[in-house]
Amino acid sequence: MAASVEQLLQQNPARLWRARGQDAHASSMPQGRPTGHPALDCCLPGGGWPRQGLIEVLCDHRGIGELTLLLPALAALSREGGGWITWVSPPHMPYAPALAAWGIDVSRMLVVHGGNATEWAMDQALRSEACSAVLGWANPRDPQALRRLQLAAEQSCSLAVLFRPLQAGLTPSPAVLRLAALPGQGAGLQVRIVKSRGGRPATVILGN
Amino acid sequence: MAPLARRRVAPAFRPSLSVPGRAPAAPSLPRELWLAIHLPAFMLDALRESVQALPGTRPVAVVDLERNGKVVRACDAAVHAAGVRAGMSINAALALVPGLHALARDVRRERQLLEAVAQRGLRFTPRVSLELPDGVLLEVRGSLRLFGGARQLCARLQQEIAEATGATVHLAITPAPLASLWFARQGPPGSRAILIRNREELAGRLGPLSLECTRWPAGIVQALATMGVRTLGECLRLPRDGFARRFGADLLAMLDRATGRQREPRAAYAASERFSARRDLEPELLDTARLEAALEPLVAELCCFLRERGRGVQAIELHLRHREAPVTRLRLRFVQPIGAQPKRIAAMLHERLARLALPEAVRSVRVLSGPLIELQADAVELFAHDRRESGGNVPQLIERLRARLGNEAVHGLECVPEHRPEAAWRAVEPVSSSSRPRLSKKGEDKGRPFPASAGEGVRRPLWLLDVPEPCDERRLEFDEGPECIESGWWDGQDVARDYYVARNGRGARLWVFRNRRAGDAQGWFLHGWFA
Repeated sequence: MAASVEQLLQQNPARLWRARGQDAHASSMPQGRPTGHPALDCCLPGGGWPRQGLIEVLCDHRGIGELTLLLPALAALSREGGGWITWVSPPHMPYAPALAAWGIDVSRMLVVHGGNATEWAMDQALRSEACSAVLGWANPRDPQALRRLQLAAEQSCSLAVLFRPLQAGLTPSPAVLRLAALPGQGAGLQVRIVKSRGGRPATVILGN
Repeated sequence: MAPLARRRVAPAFRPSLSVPGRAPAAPSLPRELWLAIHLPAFMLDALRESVQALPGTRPVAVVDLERNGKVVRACDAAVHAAGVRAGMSINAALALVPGLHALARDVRRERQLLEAVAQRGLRFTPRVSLELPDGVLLEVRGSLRLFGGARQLCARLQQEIAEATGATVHLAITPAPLASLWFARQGPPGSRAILIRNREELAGRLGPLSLECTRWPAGIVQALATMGVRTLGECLRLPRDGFARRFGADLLAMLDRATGRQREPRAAYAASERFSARRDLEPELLDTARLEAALEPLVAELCCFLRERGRGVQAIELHLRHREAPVTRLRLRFVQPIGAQPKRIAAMLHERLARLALPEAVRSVRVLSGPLIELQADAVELFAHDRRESGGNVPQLIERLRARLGNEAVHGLECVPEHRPEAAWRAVEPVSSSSRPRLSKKGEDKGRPFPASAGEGVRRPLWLLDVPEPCDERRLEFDEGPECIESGWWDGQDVARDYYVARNGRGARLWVFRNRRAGDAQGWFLHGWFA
């Protein structure tokens, strides 16, 4: 029996979720995308944002640094020159001069006002293979819609991020990674890893 | 012996206009052969349908009503034989030919006739140029071999034009477009078209042509005639400077172009055609999925049409006809002109039809294309690792999103060099920016705003509120500021504000401002979030 578990581990190390021993097998996890926040990288399996699959950011507050969490990765994607960054139904207009100052190529950005078709628009953007990152603001009530999104994110190599209210953390989700972004002490941002495939729940304080 | 004789003749015709040092030498002119199509009876040919609609065979003349004088402009051969000439008044013509039927000249149909001829010409060469009102020029040098020589080409062209328009044409081929036109206007001696391959022969062969075919102003032709100059050969023998002084440098330049000493650039004719096809539905359809299937052959036809022409469209219109209800019109717009891509068109149709509520069953559908657009070859990056890097799918994505969400729901962003925060960005058409050349290789400096608008070290929020919201400053802790922004007096939207970076009790960072001027709204306003 033990041998078969070993076999399974060898055959499919990425898909098998192991609560423990992740440090010992860190190399077996697919390499993540560096988040640009070293403290967060340490707590994520693969040392960064997962390359595939949906990331959920649960956040009720505005202006606490919830976008800054993603910006280093977005800037890196923009520097690599691959694909577009698509914003689906953002709560406010992403401010182009600030993004440009972060080193993001504003000319390769798409803003989509999805209305009640936000999940569909995200799904289309993910499936188009044209985007290096798809950021969406929605709270899908239908678990089916969420699963579809996760499936699309799993099949594309875009960075797929869905922003949802904190309340949504109470219901299960197929997302690969779920983070709760909360205001930290002083100027910091507190990031609580709610769910992480191949990783462990943790809390990180990011300086700002 | 004929070539020899010609060679001997040529020096006699050598015009004194070619004074050494004054006439432009033409060593590096492109080797071209221009075929001129002249429609001698274009006014009558344009009205062919009206003539055929007349009962029996009546003598016909075309009159120009616009000039009030009711002047005969053209007439058929029988009327001509009776002595009616262009320029005669209609009453005089009626006196000569009592049963004469007068038709009004139709300039629009004349133009259509000329374009129809040009259309046929496009089958033989891509370089086609119109010479209004009655001439078309084709550059055929590259096409001669394909069509089996000049004689073969002329025969086929004549046949195709006759089949398509019923017009009679005169043809001439020479290395200079103007010379071709003049030869064609002169009319062929016998039924064979004039064919001159060498530029050197031009001056000599133009000699016998009468000055009428140049269509110079009547006064000038008259003046030349009083000097005893009635043919081009005599005209070419005149001294250059004197000719230019008396008749203008333009005419001299025309002679130079006709004899092939000067190049003549021609404006290319671009077909302004559109696709339109209709299909009756039997039985009538109310189901959009079946409608989509019914549209498939029309889309295939459209794609075939586009492929043949190597061109694309940016908009397609669909007219769905019902029994009672007004026509349902659907307009599909593409971000970039698309060529023969049935899948892409079908995907767009699917998206639009799926959300369409039909008022009634559809009896017939019509597919109309917008104007045809020259397609640009896609520049796919050679070393792109995957399809994402070329950004090739972005237009399709935008179209799909727009088909469902509407045109305004999808846009790109652009930085504007402006001090006012709300004016420092704008929404733009997304793909127009992708076609801009990417100046910096890695895109690091791209999109950086003007240094003055958001200089290094000046913090700007990531979220900007569309409209600043009033806020309570008593809850705020100020971190940075003030940054004074005072600008925009020129467009009536001027602002004078002190901006601060502040923090509220819940750990959020805000961008707030206070108006500096007493006349503006007082209090504090939230303008952005440092998210």
